[in-house]
Amino acid sequence: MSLQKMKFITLIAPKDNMDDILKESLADFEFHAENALETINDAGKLRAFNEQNPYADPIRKLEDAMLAMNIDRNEQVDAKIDSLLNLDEVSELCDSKLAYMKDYETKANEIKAKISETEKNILQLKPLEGTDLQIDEIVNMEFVKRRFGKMPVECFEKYKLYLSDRKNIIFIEALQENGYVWGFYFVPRPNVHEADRLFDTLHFEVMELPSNVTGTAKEAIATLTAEIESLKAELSALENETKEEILKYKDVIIKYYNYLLEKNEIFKLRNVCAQTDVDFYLAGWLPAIDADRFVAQFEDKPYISCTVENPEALKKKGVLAPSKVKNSAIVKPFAFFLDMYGKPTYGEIDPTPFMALTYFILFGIMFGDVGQGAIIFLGGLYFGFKKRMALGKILAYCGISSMIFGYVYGSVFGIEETIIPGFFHPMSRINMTIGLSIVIGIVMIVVVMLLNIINGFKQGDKGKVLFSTSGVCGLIFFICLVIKLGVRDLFLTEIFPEPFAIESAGWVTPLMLIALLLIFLREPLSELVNGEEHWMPKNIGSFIVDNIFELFEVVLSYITNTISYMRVGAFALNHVGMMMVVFILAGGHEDPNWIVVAIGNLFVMALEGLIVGIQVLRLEFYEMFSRFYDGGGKEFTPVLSKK
Amino acid sequence: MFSAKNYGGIVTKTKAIYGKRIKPSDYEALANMKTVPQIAKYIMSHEGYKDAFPETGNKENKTSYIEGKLKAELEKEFMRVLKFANGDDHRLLEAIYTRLEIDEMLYFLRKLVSERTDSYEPRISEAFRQRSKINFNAFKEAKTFQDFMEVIKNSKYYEPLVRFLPVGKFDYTEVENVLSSLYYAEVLKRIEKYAPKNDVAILQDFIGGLVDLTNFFRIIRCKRYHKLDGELIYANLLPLTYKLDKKIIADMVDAPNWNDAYNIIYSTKYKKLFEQAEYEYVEEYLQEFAWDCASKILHGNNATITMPFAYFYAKNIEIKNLTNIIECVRYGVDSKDIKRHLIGIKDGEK
Repeated sequence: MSLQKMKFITLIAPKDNMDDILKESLADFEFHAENALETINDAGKLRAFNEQNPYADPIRKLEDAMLAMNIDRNEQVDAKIDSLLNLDEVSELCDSKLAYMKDYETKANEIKAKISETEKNILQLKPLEGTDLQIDEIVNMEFVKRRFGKMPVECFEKYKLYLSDRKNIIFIEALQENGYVWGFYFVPRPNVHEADRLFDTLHFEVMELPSNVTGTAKEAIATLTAEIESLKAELSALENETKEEILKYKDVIIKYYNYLLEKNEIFKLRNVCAQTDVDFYLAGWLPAIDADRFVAQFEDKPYISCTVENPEALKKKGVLAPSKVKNSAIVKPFAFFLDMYGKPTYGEIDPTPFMALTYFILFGIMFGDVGQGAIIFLGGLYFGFKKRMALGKILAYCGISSMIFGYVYGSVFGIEETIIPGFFHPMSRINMTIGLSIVIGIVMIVVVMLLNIINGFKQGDKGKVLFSTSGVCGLIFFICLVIKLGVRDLFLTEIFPEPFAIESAGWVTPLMLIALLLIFLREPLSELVNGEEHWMPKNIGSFIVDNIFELFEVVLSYITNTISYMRVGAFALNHVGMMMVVFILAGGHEDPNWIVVAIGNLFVMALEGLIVGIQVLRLEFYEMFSRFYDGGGKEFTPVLSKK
Repeated sequence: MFSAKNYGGIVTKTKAIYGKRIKPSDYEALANMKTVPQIAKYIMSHEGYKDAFPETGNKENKTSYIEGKLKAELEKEFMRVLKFANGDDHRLLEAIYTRLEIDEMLYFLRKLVSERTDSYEPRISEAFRQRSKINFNAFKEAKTFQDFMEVIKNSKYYEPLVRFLPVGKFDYTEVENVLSSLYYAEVLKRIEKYAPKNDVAILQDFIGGLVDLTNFFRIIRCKRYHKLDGELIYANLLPLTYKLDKKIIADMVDAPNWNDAYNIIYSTKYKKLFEQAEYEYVEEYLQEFAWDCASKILHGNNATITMPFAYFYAKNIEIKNLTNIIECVRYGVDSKDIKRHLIGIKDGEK
């Protein structure tokens, strides 16, 4: 439900066994590393690591090999590496496998090319399949020359358009593929040079029949078909052999890869470590509950020094602890919204539970309907659990809240009071609805101011606690303002028929003015109480002018923030209004057109549900978070953790 | 009425942009300028281009920078107009995307040929790049034609160009020829499929005319400068014809010299074009034809899909004119000679 307490760890150990020490000491802990040169006091003596990463190249080669061998790098293998792995051996293995795969590819491509060429040869012979002519006779025709080959499609188009009616040339198209047209041209022998020149300009590439093709066209086709079968068998054998080779080395390669990845991760820690001639320095954060156990592992290792510091000591050096948020499963879905705003700063209250509760309540008030809430709930379950969408679970909560307040309003799919009687009907008590939303706003603002005061205490910022616009002075001023404005008289005389005695008390106005004066002086006063030496403003005139305008804005913001909550009641009314429109379009409540009612409900759910969702988020971020939450924390990102 | 209702938005937008075009008086002023910075200042302050040059600094006086920005402005305006088109109209106008993609590819290939790929920067906007299947940013890393082909692998341009892939087979003129053929074939196909019935003939006359004149100037170029004849000329033509049918083309190809081939054009429907204007280069008649067709459409009262189509061509010519002026001033060409090469101002505003 809150941020985990952190301890700052500095580890000093001999460089000789650096990788082993890092692996052994960090494996069982969640450790967030910081740059040692920036965080350690005597950093002047230290220098950064500039070693070249020896694992990067073998890892790249292994990845290349896995890609070439079609090995899934995420596949799990049981085998572990017991002894030290020789990186040269890994490189050699990769090189040999890459060469093997390249060789396989070359051979396979050669066979495929032969198959393709033979198929093209068959294509040449197909038109002559029905004749008894001998191939020799066709190739060596006395008066006519035949050529087979391919030309680009666009050249063929030109041939068809401009040159196809040349009486002495016949072109027979056999096939179009991959941007080429395959075919023959026949030309009388005396015109062969002219035809060759013509087809040459059309980028015609000639293919000759192989010399071993003899007999009739039918016989030649049969021979070539048999040749293709033989080539296919050869290809299949080659593929099987390669598959076996891949299978043989797959586990070894994955095993090496995983091992080197781990070594690489450890090695990369050098980027944040520092060194002297003999030692290395590692600095970072550990959850406070693990600190003792972490230190204990070095008790029997006198050559390793491990110191533990509190975050406050580091804060003075400008190093902030990371935020490790631990939320219960109930409020966890709302962390999705919080991430949009920013992680809590270390020492700050984690606002997730507060946000979860307020979002839940406000959504229900603004969109109360048992039927529609149930559908949103079911939709939320589907998207949250089946589709694993972050928003899904939030939707499910919204659905529950909507059902609860729908029960209070007596609304089921827009049918008011008929199915469920309800306790409070916004449309029949409009002033009360708006008034209550203002009251909700006042309560919310008071609560977030209290949270801000708590945050100030936790952060040791007395100025923030006492004089900030959401601190003690702000709170006093706001409460006095509420009393002076007479919120009861405006909206709530029905609930509170008698005026509060406090309203007429004479101390309210002076207290309000004192609070306002202290807010005006908040900057110098904050610096004074926080122990700053030079707390007086340098330029008094400029300070006064600036702060008069700021004060005006501050006072205005109390009023606007409060009024902003009127939207809570307004949307409750809006929902009733929209559903009234749906029923008017459907022909009234007596005998409505149920199709229109169903479509209207879907429309209202989609449109209003979305708008209310956004409006509640707006209230959270602008009216609440802006008063107490910084959200400038950094995320806790553990290294090498096996947890 | 129906037409105006359908195309009101797109035509209004087109006309609004067209209203900000460079006028003959602007061309007159520009042609008389003596330095590129003067021209740059004039263009940047012109209503039609002031948004095209958001930054200020020394680079705005560089010719390549100005040309790049002018080209980018053309694409931006086209995107603005396209937003108003729906359904079949959108599909029809998308042919222009093909033209813009091809222009950008050819721009890169010219850099490749002159071994200046290091200076390549895509001239088209990020929004356009996101729509394209080609990752134009990847051209920055491409050093060979093979690299170029790798970048365009998933596009419709890959297959027609695959035959140039083997090392040493890349020829810029042939590639340009293949890509132009692809564009014209596509645009004619789209006109037939998507253009409204009443607009098909207008657009076919427009694009078909460009196809014919492209073939004509290629024949003249082959005969006059490359001294080619017979089949070798056919290899340089588009595999499409319109009003210049096979026979006229064959007559031109078989003509004993380029002059005779040139004179054949006076017996075709393009006679008037060649009689009315006088240009030094035959390619300029092609531009004049495009300008003539485009300005007729743009000055007409029919609110149709032909308008944005025509506007694209008109704007393209305007940019070519500006680029020509910049180049001419850079090399100290006399203002009278500059004006001779400008398209669409011979007879005043059309």
